[in-house]
Amino acid sequence: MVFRKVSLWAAAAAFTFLSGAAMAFPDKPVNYIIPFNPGGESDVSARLQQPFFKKVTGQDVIIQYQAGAGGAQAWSVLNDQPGDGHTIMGTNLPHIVLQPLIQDPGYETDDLTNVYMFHFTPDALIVRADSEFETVQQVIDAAKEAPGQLLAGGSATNSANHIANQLFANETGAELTYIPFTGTGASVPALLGGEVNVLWGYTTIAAGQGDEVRMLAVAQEERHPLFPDVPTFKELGIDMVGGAYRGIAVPKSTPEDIRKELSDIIGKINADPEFIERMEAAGFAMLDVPYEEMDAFMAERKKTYGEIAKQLEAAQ
Amino acid sequence: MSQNSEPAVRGGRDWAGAAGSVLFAAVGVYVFLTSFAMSPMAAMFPRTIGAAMAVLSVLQVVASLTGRSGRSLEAGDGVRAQADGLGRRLSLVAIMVGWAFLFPVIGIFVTSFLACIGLMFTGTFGRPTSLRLSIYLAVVFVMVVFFYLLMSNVLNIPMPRGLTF
Amino acid sequence: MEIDFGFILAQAFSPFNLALALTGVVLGTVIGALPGLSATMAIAVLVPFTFTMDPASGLIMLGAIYTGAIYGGAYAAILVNTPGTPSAIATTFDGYPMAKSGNGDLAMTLATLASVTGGVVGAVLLMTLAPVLAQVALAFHSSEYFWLAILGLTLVASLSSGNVLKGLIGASFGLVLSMIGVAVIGGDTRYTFGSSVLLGGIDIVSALIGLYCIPVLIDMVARPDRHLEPAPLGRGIRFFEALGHCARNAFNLARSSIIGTLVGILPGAGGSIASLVSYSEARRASRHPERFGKGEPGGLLATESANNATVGGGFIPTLVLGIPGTPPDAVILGALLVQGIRIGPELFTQQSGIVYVFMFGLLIATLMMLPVGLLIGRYAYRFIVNTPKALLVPLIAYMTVVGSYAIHANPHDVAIMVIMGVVGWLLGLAGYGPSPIVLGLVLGQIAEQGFMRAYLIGRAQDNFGGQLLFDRPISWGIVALILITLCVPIIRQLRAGARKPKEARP
Repeated sequence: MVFRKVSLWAAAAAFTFLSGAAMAFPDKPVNYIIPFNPGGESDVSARLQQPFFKKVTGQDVIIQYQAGAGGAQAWSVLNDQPGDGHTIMGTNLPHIVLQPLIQDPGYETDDLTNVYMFHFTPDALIVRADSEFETVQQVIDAAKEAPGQLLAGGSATNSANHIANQLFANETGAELTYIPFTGTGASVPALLGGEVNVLWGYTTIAAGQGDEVRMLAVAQEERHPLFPDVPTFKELGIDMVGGAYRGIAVPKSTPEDIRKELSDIIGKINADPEFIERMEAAGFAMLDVPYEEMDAFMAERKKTYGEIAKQLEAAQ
Repeated sequence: MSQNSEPAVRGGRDWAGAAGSVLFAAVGVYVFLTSFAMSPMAAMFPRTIGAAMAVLSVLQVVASLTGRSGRSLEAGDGVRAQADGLGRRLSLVAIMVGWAFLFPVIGIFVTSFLACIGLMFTGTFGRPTSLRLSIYLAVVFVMVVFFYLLMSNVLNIPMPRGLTF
Repeated sequence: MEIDFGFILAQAFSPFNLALALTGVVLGTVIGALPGLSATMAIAVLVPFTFTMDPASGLIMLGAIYTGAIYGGAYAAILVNTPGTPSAIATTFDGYPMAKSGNGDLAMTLATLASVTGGVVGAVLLMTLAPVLAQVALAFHSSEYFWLAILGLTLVASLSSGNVLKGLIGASFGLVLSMIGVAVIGGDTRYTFGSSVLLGGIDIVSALIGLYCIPVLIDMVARPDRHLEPAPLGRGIRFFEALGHCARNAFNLARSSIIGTLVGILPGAGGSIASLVSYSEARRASRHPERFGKGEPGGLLATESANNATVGGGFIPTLVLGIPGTPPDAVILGALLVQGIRIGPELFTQQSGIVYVFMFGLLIATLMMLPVGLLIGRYAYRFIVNTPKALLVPLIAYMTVVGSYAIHANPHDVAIMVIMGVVGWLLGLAGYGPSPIVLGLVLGQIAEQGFMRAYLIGRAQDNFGGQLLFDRPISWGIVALILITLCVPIIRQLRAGARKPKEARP
């Protein structure tokens, strides 16, 4: 009994020691809440920001996780947090637009005060390395020959991947059957194992899978620096630019000047060449939407997603 | 999962089992009927499971009332055995329910400390000496503090913000 | 590429790395023993500190925590009938009855031996056959996941022997609970009653804690007698007795460890299916299936070896394919990505130094679990036995509350835990045990999504039957196992009945 107590205390002491050593200003560390489980893209990009946040501000960021209901659980309580700038939360598009459109997740899109959108993972059409498809055109042709027979995997229903599949169909007339998986952890094996023909994913998947997969096109304005040989959809005459956007939001009660300051800090991190290099090596694409431009950006996204959401609902 | 020696209800009528099964039958019917409002993809499982559950539950109601219901390996103590110490059982349930619903409002530390003291008395048999009682209180206090700090400061879990902390 | 094993061994056995492995195992065991605190959480907290270390050292520490945490789950399962993680569900089946009847010391030692065995088998398979075994993750399609979940559900029949009907109803109820929330396929919001709280569904861990632990607590306060039967004074940890059980169950241990490794490879299946399937297979193969569920050492050995084997198994797709086998693997994968280490086939060829140092480190950490586990287990058992109920009840209750809060930092999970606990208690009064409900809840999503995806694919290609079963040889194998599991007890009963036909049943 005594030993167990001692070992527990020792464990706690070891933890406290370690965390104490890493904090230069333990009085004012910033809590950065990730509304997803650790290990995903939101977590990885926050982890990449972590050291640069300290470099810019001299203060630490503590990453906390509050996963649940596809992020809705954390977003619905964001405004209950103290608005002193020391609590920030990751936000994701299209999630924060689609969720309130389709069901009642306990928050409205406009309840979230985004201060900066700092990167996105562009939609990408991915096939196995040994796939018969070499170009997007071949996929379109095959899909037109036998509508609905070609299988496209992706994460979940009414998600960024699902939207990409619908947009692709709208733009090209190629009908693929969308097969929803629980996440990239399940959809990537399905592609590699041949359960689906093509995969709607992100550039990060191609970065992680290396030679095992081939990316046919990315939904970016310009080619991704990590994949100079992969064309954009735009180059191919398909008007698709998008993916999953990630940003940072603060509670509504946060004063205007702090919002602005946070936006500047994230902007500075985003301009750091070393940060850009690391982000792009992991397959992310940089994006700069500061606080001043946020309203216009969100309005444009809401319009796009709103139209698609109607189509997805009609398709059911 | 206790291995009590209460005799099997075979032969006798299993009123509690029948009541539970009626409830399950209702759940099954509800699940089955509501599935018709869903999209075909999402409806298939609820419809199948709901129907199966309702049918099985009705069979169980019949079995329970005709005394053909056996005791499964894992079943807990029967109603009669549970009557022993019922007051303490119910006060534990009340404390747990109050704890779970009040801590987001009042604050996790204060609620937990109060609930733990309540449970300490619920779990005390006989009359403890005042020395023993103060040791117990001290241990409970240390325990509540320890796990609170473990969660908030070591594991970085965002704690709920209530009226207190 | 040439692999310099001398260098790798020197690195893996460096005092610093050994110390990290030891620390990791101890921390992991303690965290795993607390219901609700998971390996994922412990690893996520420690990830930033590993950035300051050499990548291999960081990996060793994370791997050690992971394996320790999976093992630690056995403590709460055996001592208070509370599986803190889904992989420890089956451990309660025989572990808690053993502890109840005064054999808690033996159960703890058996769990340690089994975990070390399973962990070593998993780690060795990871080191030797990883590239080959990784293909298993790709060979399993949606239909196989569906059948695997059904195989897990067949366990309901044996767990509720005596009244299988109630078991099946309980399992259906669990399946219904698993449907709550937004459907992955179809996107509908199901059975949330308009509440945004239930959109994410019922969290499995909080339901587990509630269903198993609250009835135990309710029982604890009702009677003044001790929670567990104490061991006679002076009795040790019954190490050699436990070894004897292991020797008699050598084949069981080997089979369970291999099942654990293979299931661990499957992303999305995980420790719960591994230990449930191993338990079911151990029971089927046993000469005394009737002893299972009442404190049979073979059942405990099967589940504990299987869930620790999933650690090594889960690292196989993580390291070979860059596909995380389990949630903790996903965190480790993310950590590697942040450090700029590329995962996937390249990791084995270009940066193989790190991989091999890590794999040896994992093996060493697993072996360290033996002394560490025996020591901690002995004191944990004594602690639970000797603490007066006046302190034990608030301690365990507090653990259930903070534990279920900790899962997602969500107060609603605590409410769900308590509600499930009270429902579980009331259903217990009506003769419904918690395990069929839990099995339905844990396996429901895997079964539904597997089936629906096979259906979607089959419908798109006009070949539903082929997609679900006929064109899928692995599915044939799993379906055969399902049939055997269901039929063997019936055949046995018929045979027994034929041998002594006139012996009237009581």
